[in-house]
Amino acid sequence: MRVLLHIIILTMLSGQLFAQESVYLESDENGNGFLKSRDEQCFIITPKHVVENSDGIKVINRNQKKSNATAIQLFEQDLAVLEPEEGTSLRCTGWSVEPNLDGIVEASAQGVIEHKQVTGTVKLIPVNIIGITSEYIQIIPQDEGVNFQKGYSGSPFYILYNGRKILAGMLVNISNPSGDNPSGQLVGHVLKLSQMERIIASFFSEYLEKKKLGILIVPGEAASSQPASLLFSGFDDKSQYTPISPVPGAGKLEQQVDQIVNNGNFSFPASLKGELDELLLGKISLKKSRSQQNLAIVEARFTGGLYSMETSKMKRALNLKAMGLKREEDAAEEQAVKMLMQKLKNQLK
Amino acid sequence: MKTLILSLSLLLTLPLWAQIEPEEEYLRSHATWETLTEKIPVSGGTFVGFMFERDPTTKIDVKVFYVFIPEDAKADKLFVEFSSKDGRYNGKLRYKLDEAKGGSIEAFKLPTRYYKELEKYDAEEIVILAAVTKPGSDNKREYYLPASWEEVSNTNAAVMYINTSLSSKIMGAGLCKTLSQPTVAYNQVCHFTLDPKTQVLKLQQRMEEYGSVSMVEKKIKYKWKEGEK
Repeated sequence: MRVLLHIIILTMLSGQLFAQESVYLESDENGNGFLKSRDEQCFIITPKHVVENSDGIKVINRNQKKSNATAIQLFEQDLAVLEPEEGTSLRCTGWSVEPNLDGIVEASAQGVIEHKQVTGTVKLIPVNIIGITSEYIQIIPQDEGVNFQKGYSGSPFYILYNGRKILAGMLVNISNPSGDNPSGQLVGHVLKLSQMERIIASFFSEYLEKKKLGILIVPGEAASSQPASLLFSGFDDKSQYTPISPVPGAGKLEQQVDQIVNNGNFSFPASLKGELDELLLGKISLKKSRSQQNLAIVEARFTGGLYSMETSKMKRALNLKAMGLKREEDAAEEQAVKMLMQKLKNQLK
Repeated sequence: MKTLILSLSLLLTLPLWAQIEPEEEYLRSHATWETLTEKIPVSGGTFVGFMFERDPTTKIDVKVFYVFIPEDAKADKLFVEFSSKDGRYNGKLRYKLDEAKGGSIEAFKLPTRYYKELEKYDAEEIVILAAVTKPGSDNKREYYLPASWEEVSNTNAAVMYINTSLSSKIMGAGLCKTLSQPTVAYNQVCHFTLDPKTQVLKLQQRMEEYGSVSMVEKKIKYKWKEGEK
């Protein structure tokens, strides 16, 4: 009954169903992809594993019309961008990630996978959210008799929030049930839309005359979290920057953060200069203590700078700190890091 | 004595000689030609297995499999995909057919490193899709060939394993049957008779929603004992 209700609500919201159209992709492997426009041209985003070994890719739209597409960029992470052949009839929009998407995901217990079938019709699979990580949303179908199967890669995942249907990510793979899932159903892993946007930003921002800002923040003393994603989500259309994270070749640079920050100047690799205009680089460290009332106090400190890739020189040193005060240490740390990232964003405006 | 030992060892190794080995060049350039994974990418084709009909509950020996090779395929290459129903195992291999006899069912070697894990699967839980590739293509399939995990003879009964969320049937045969869960890589089995005259399989998929019917038809070519009446 609950499943039926969910489908009825989704059908009633059909006006929004077409806000981000998905397509069926047929190649050596089959899957789904969804559309995003760039400078009035339409592109398809799909998991890389759907198309990477294919000899040819066919796109099937809502009217069951078949056309060709070419993979024009494969990302190291499991994503690819396809270009449909000219004249393909697709409902393409230039959507962007819902502000506070992570908060909406955290506040939601359910959602729906919208799988485009070979007939061009859509199959809705209402799901429960059973886990959230920094990159993925873990889901299982609400109907215990339903399981995800091959061909579902690339299906969009939506959340209903305040009467709106919000695109939250893309189904990429499944795994065997864990302890949190006693029903024994396979667990679907949805790549968060915010993560997807980070990965494909370099492609979809090419036409914008915005500076490409690489973000590389490494955890220092006592810091375990990676706050780059917090910072990343704060860049909107009005920002002067297009954020790029992960930074290409970040592994080597991470080991040299102290050296770069202390020297002020650094000879960045030529490959990085081609990818970025500026680089925000630094270290985050935490100092933890307890108040007399036994509240957890966490001081988060950022030490780093903003670097020009053209000159390899530090444009601006950035030394900021923020405090968190909560009953639990984890909550205080989260508060401090969030405030610190907000301060950092303000510096970049 | 030496002659006897040599003869005996020749006899013992004879079945191995009869098996066609995967193409060395392919193995070198595809180090991860097989995967057994807990995290399963959920992309995949509609046609997953094309096999002779056998008892689906038989235990199988995955070190060797059998494929019907037509007489005119000796200059071609065979591309074979192996898929487990739960989606965890997938393997793709290529074989040169110049050593094949042609016109018969022949044995091929599957050099899997997951032998122990695959031993647990029944015949219907891990399937084979064998096809001759188009000239100049690594994996583009020209036509399919029936395969089996065990030696077969005197049969025209075959099955196609498919992955679809739609109701399906093979034209001229009955509706495809839904398989038991977990069905990640394929979820239906379609029974049909291999026909040396038509050598074409038409799969019709149908969907009825809100009173309207959508149909999709897929055709695939196969070869089976050309010229036989």
